[in-house]
Amino acid sequence: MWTIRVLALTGPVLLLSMLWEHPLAYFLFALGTTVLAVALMRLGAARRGNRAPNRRLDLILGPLWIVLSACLMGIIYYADSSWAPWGVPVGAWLLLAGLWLLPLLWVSLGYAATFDRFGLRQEDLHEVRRAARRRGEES
Amino acid sequence: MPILSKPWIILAALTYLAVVFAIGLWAARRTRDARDFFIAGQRIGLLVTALATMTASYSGFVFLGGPGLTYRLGTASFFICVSVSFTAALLCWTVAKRLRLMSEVREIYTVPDAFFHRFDSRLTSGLAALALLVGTIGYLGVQFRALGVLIEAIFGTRAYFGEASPWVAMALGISVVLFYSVAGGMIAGVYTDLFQGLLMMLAAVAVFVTAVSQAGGPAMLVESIRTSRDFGPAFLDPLGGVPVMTGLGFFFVFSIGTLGQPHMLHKFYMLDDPRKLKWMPLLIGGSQTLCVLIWMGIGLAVPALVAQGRLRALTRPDDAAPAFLLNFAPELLAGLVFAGILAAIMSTADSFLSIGSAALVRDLPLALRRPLSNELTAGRLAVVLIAVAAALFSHFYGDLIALLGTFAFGTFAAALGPALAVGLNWRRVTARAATASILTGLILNLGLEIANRYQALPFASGVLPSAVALAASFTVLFAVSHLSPPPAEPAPDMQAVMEA
Repeated sequence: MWTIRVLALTGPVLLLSMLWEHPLAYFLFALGTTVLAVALMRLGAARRGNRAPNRRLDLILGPLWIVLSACLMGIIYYADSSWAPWGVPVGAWLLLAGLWLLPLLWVSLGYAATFDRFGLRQEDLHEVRRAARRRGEES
Repeated sequence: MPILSKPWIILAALTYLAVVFAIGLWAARRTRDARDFFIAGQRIGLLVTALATMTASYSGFVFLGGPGLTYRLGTASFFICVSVSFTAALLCWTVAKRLRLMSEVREIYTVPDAFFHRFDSRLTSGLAALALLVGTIGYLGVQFRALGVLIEAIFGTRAYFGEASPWVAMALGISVVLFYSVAGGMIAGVYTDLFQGLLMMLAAVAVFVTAVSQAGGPAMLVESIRTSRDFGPAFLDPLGGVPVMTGLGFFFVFSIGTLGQPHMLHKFYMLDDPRKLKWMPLLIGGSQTLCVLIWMGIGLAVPALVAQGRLRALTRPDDAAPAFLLNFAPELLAGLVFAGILAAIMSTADSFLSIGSAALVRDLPLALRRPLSNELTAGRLAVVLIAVAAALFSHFYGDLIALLGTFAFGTFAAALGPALAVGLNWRRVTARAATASILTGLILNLGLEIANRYQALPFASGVLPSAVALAASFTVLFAVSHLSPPPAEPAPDMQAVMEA
């Protein structure tokens, strides 16, 4: 149930952070965005309504959330900073590496690796097709 | 731009158009009924579905609007495209599986169909169709504007038609898209998408390499921009050129908002075997990542070239890609890239024409209990009608391609995203909550966009109207779901879909 509670809270938090003209609101908005993204993935991965924490799923989604949140917050924190390795501002490095390239392989391969558990099982597909046939017969 | 002296460019563009025509003709013969026209008979394999999803999502917005936006805002514009790293997985985990399974148990061709069968409410599906039509006209407007800019650049129509040139160029492009959309429907759409997707990836990689090398290599590119009076170090800082909330808002809307994009969602119905979704995030995300290179390559090379004094400052940021290709890319590569951009624009336009026509001749009549007897013929007529409406909208909106695209993307995101993403996965979401969420997203996005134009937004500086609409739509969905009585148990087949 916590996934639903978290999701229900993120909308108002995001709205409040857009109304609040304060630097802390930026961090809140960034956090709200990453929480919403990862909680939605977790909601979709739940089977038979079971949204309890799952270690294997959390091994994929946890690091994803940490990287996305840390990079977004880093970009905000280092905005206008003069720290620029090889002439490129650190915020741009975080954007390109942390938000773009790193999560791509991690989450795509993680999805494929856990597909038979949190994606679509063969038996679930058979169950759906059986239900479709029953509906056809009844009508 | 007088480019008749560059025959390779024209040859590449004409060859591309000829191939697309040929696919349209071939597909027309294979389109026998509405199922073929709207979801390609549900017999499309993994690679074609993945590339069709990618090409539908990447359009004139990315290939012309993206570099233009980077020229104007700097690397802040990358907040729009970097989320491709995880949005395909987000889509597959949250909505793709259940949408595809729904099409196993019910006759579902469109996104409003999914709303109807999930919530058993004509009001909900009718409103979804209305949101779809509004967003479709906006998104098609983006494609048509980009098509006009590109064809004008390729064929130099300004020299012959003067002020009427953008209209002539746009009409030429629209007529090609209309031909294969009307004739071949979604079958033509997905197979041109396969051809176009491969072309787009090839073009994007080649142009990225050329752009960086033309700017003198990565180090020189960065140094030119950093030391330039026009651009400076802030241009390279993701939050240097825009208010913080604009950059974060781009990331929020273009990541979470993917869940409501019908041109992408619609493609999942066509997949022949739902278990093939396993590799979908890698294929979609990987191909999108390659295509983003054109945005980043041209978007950074053009300011560097301007800073180096090798290119005049642009008066219209949307000209960044044509200006680079015509002046700095080898002729054959420019031809290939122009064809690739044409491909991107046309594939997206085609997807939207198909989706918009389905909303007009199928979803809305069903919601009003007035189903049409011949959906195939009516669908073909609707395609023409929607194209005319979009061309007019594009003319009167008058803004950067990317900003027009942000509005259209935001409309889908806020109106359809929350109700679909949560509604397909949580049984407690009621029809009333979904309806309220769609209405909130649609009205707020339109209303705040208008308020923003008159600088009357009551939010912190830089907040995007579509970000507010999307967050509000989620909030309303949960609030109304909690406040309304629990819904009845779903039918056994829908229950099986939601529990899979």
